[in-house]
Amino acid sequence: MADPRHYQIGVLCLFVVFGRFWLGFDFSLSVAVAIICTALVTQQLLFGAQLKSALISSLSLVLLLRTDSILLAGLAAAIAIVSKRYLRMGKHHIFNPSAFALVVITFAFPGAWLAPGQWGPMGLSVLMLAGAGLLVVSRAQRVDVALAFFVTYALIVLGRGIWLGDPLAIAMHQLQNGALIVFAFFMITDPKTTAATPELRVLQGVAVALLAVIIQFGFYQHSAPLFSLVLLAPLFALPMFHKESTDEKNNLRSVSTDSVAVFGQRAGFLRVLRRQG
Amino acid sequence: MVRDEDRTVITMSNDFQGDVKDFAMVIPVPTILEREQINVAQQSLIDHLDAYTAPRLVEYFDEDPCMVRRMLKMEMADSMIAPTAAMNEAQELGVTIEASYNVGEYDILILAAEQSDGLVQWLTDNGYQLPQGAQAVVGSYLKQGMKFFVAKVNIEQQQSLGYTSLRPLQVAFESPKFMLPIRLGTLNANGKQDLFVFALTRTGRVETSNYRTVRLPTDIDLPVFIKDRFNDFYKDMFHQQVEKHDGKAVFLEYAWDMAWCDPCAADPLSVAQLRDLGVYWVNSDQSLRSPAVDVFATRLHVRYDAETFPDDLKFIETGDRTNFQGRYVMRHPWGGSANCAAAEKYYSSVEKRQHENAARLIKLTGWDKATVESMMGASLSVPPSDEKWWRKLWRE
Repeated sequence: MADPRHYQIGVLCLFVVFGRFWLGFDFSLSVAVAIICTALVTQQLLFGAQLKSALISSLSLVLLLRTDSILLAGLAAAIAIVSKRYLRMGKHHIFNPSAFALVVITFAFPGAWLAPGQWGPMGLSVLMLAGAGLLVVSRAQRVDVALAFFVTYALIVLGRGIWLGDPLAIAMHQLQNGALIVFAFFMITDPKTTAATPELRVLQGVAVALLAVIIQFGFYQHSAPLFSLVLLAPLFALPMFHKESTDEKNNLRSVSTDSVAVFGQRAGFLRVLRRQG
Repeated sequence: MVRDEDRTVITMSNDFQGDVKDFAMVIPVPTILEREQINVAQQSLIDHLDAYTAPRLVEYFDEDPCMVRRMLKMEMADSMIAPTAAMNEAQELGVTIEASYNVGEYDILILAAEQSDGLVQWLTDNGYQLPQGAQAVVGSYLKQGMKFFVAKVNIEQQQSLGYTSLRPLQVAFESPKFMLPIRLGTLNANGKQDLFVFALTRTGRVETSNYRTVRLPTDIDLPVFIKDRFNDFYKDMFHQQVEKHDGKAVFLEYAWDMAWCDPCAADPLSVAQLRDLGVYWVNSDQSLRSPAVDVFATRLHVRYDAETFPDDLKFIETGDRTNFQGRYVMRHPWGGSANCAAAEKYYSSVEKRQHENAARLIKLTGWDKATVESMMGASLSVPPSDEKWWRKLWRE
């Protein structure tokens, strides 16, 4: 099986290019380079491997973080990678690295901010975005948490619109937001921070959606799903959410140890040769 | 609109056309306002802010190609005025008059209600004419916990104060909602309407969080005849940009630190003017004429209707202090005599640039090519070239 991270990197790169050149996302090349380089270097220093994972985190940051400062851009990337190393519960990360970095850096520094409006209302293109996202997620086997989040969130937004007596166009406008789609299909689905079983993941998706709605409509805060995800992360990092069922364990192992399996087969082939010899 | 953390001061200037006795404004506000939270400002404040942030035409004169020197002059343009009004209607109850004030030439009521039909009925009974569909929108705002700020002109007061036009109303409140309610305004408008938002903030540029904010094309060289037609140019270019983004974008026209400008379409506002607009953090001890620090001005231009902008405008203050202005450049060719080898090259470059500028103008405004060319003809100040193509062929 191909590494799902390749798809993820490909789609994120596509979004970065599309965002920068079609939608005019407000980031300079130097900021993008600062984010990507810092993330890769930090990853190499702390882990000595898994540069693809660092690349995914840094591309998410390039898409979502806005700053004019190369220093803040680099700092955000470093925070993302460092959080993977030091903020963990067993083998799981407590926080999604890019979500955590975005929240910390935008809270701590006025020179960094989020631009949820940058995608604009997208209509058809949102569906395409969602489709591309879905492809990535289903390859990464975390489509359940994304759908649970998105369906819950959409139902509440639609229900609220009906209760307010608003035209459907308003709820649709609120749902047709590229930032929301990127969040649902690229951030909340991070295998390192999602719960172990499908049931628990659905619970997680629903919980993040509920808190997001409270933050958005109760506290009038933009980018609510992101804050919701980070606030709930310590809860979903508890060991009770990561006890794998036997099926799930096997399933996960078969995915994550792909390269080992290939290596094992080769070793077996060598052994066979040797025996013949 | 002045915003710092949860503190907001909104100054509303309206281009109401008609008899002022028919004028009324119904605006959702997040909190009940006390008398001291309402004020009437001078129109000149808004006019000055408009002039300071307006797109500018900059004029350069080419030097004698055989010498060097330059001169600069500028001009500013464009109209403005923020609408967002709602007309009236009313009966029944469930309506609470939370407060009633007389502020300057305005009679103001702060209304709360249990149900939208009650409020709409009450307004109708009291002589307000609400547009069709107002009840659903009013109901939505009421459910979101908003109160209604209703203002109409007290003619006697207005006459005794000696004002003939409607002065801007100001409200100051504290609320996490950083937004402008535009939905009521879309109900009674004839087609699309224009809204200019001037935001004065401490940290940086303001943008919309639920719509895309786009920078207008800027730093563009245009044919010199544009000087007399700059308003038309700007209007048509804006129209083209709106179309280009399917009518769904908010446009950034200006973002600058209030302490200075370059080139200045008008002087930056003084500390005293800023305080009148609600910028409470500027130091009143400071000389009132000196430039203000820590004030960042953003000018946004929205052309909207209910279809393209279904939801209210929600804003965020970014940390971006990068300066931006709508700046359009005219370069006048050298008009004197020039007899040197360089002049030949110069004139052919002028001709080239004039054609490029014309093409750019056509692209930006959608103006007819023939019209632009005829206008160009009048302003072409390059001596007509009768040079034969072969003359340059073997020249050293």
